[in-house]
Amino acid sequence: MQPAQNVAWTEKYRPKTTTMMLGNEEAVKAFKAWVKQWTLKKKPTKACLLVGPPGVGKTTLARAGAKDYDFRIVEMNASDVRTEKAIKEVLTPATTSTSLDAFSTGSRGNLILLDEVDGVFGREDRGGLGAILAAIKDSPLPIILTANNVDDERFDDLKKACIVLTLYEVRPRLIVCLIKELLSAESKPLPLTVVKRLAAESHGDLRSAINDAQMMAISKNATLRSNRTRELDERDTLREMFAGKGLGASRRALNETEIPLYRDELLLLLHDLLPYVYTSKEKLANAYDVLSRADIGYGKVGASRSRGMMPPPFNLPRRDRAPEWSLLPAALNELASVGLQEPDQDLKHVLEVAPRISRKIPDRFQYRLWALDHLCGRVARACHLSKRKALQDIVPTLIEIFRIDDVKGREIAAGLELEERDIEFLVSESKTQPPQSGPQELLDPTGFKLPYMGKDKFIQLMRAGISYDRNSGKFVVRRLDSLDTVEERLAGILSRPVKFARPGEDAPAPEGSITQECYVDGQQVPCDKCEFLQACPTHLIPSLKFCLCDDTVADPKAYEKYVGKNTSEAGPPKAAKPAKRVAARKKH
Amino acid sequence: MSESGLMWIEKYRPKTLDEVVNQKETIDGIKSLLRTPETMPHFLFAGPPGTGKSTVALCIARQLMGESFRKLVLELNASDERGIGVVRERIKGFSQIIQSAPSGVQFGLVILDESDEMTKDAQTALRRIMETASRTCRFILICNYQSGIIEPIQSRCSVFRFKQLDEAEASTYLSRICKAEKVEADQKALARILELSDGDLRRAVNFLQVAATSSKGGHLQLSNLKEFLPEAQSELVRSMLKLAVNGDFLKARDVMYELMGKYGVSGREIIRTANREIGRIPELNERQASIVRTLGEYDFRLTQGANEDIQLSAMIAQLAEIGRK
Repeated sequence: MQPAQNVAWTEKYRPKTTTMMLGNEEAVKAFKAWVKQWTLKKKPTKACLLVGPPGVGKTTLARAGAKDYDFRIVEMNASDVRTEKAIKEVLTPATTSTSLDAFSTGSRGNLILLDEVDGVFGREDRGGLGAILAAIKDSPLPIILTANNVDDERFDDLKKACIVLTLYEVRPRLIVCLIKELLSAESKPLPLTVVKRLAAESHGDLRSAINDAQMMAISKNATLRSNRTRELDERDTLREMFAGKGLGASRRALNETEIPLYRDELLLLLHDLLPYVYTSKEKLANAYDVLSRADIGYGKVGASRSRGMMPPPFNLPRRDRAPEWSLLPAALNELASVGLQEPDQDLKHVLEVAPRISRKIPDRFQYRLWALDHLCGRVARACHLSKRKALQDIVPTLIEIFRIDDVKGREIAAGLELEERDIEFLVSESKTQPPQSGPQELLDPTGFKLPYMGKDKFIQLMRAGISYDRNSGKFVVRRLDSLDTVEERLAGILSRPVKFARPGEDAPAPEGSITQECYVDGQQVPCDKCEFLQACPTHLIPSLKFCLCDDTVADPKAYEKYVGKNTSEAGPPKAAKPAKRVAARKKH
Repeated sequence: MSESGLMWIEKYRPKTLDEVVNQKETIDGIKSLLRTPETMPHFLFAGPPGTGKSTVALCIARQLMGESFRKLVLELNASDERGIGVVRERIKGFSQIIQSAPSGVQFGLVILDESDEMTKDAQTALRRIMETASRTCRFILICNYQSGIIEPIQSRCSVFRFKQLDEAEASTYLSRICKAEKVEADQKALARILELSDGDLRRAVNFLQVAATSSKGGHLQLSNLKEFLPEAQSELVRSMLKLAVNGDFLKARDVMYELMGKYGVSGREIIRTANREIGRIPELNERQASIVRTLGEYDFRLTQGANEDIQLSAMIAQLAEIGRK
């Protein structure tokens, strides 16, 4: 026998039967039931798809389950080229010539394991998924598939054809127990604290935890860390991209990120954040230019894309061709260089204040757009137009007619054979438009009342950044610099538009001039001439109509001026009642 | 269905080729080709919106097939029926219906509107479809820009160009509607309507209907003319441009989202409107050239299969940069 050091513990101690499996008890039970069915007369029609993160035991479960019921495993994994042809070559003999094998080996027959099916995509595997699907349909043998992630719509058909069993991260406590057991079996002790840290850092990846434990135990160096790349989460990815370490570092971050790069998720995320990261117009324009090019790059790749703002049918993805994955690296290089300029704002702060507009707005307007689409479809058919033209020309006309004369509007609607829901939509539109008419109720962010809405909504309000003042019985917005975000969230909760009174909004500045002005040394300096513009947070906080540059405040003279007579209010400047303060300062 | 309950654009849509105004040469050409219906070629109609392309196509259908033409005509919109697969399936099904139709029917008519919106690949596929279906179907392709149609398709069709409407003839047409609807309209008011609708007769008729509905007692004068443009959006597009150039990126982007989210306006449509509206914003006159260049650049980028949100935001960022200089 070989010295124990040379055998990987993950292989040496791989569970041979399902009873030895650790964690995921439910999935194991369901899986066993599925395999058992294959030994009975009445065979299940579906294959089994095991889904879960790496290292939780998907392959182990498949093998152990096969062993439990005396199946022989025929395996294909991601390293095989899975074109339709290759798959058929392996599957055909395995699926058809079973009986002889069964007698010769004493096993019940073959069980097919297709590892990492979510790796089946792109050019090399053309037809791979289709071949797998076909094989599942015709197969007289049990087929097990494993995958890390099947959220993509490509896998919808596959999921339908399979029993999907999900395996989760193994609990750290279990990992600790197991590793302690292994260590004592190998008589190579490690301090418990180290084992615990190992378990915590493995993020439920049992395999990596065992590998790390083996490495530490054998080298007798508890501080030795493996250099396994951990996937960077969203925050870390962005931090790396904007850290100003150059294109190489940024590109590396993209290699290690957990954000799926074959879709345009990261593009949209950057799109949300950029205006907050780069407050100077020049940098913003440059960064957006690069982002736009990266976006075009993604367009050329032609992979499946999130639909952006508009739901279908206004924005259906065009699928005239298969994705060109070879073009992706070029697009990624562009994407990596979006954050190369030095950020104007601290990223942590940006992540807090920037609304994820590209995700929220579609939801808010979704229903409306569907209604609009239905109406346009009807109108288009009646008037021999495309929906687009109907939307542009006829629908506004109809709304206008409804606004002037409801009866006439209904007559025309009947003539167009509109349905009742279309008419309802038109009526409601004609009442809400034009938006400028009618004064909107303004809520005071420092204290406003809301009707009683129950506990659930109350909790939602708290989460949206609103707190409740028990003494006054009013709601208060916690952070005044994120009024826009709170407005957005509150509107979602109340399902009606909400507007907060912005301090100083009662005297709107004339259109065309930049309203925010610096008060450096008591002078009014328009923003575009201010030398502190780069460091200025004023752009970030639209509710502030006057300047609060850090530079201004840091300068003691200016700070004195800023605080003015209200020395009692010294401290971090708040956005409350700036108009008054400006007035006070002017007197001063 | 009561007679008043109709959109005027439908009610007063010409029924025969002779009623169509202002496109005399085109109509004469088409008529001569229709003299022997069985040898009717495929047609390609190109011209600005609201000049009567779809109307002429429907007139042809009516002339060839009589009042029951609806069953024998397949109207498709390239911008709605995305993907050539859908178009192919519909045409296939349609030609089967035609084959089983009672004798005497020589062919069905496929009217493909906005065909310049189709991708080049789709058009190449369409060319094949036109060939295989040509025994049972004749095609009328309609587009705004002839250059958007690939050469091989153009060569298979008789191409007719529709010209921008002549003001005098359009005005007569509107007066005729007014007379039929018993609306007394001032000539000046009609002239204003035509001016605002940019030679698009469909838009003009809609405008007229709104104005007539709002005028009490059927008197329509320049003084009480309710100015109405079908694009609620043009106002928004203007404010988006202004905000952008003044450097308020976030607000401009909000307006953009409102346009897209609330009104369902596509990105290219926003840019198209922006191009038209830019001349109407006096504050931006000095920077017009560079703004128009930016608009063009991003219109191009949008055609490259890119994401509208990102491209338009990038455009706004560029406009803000222009405003800074």
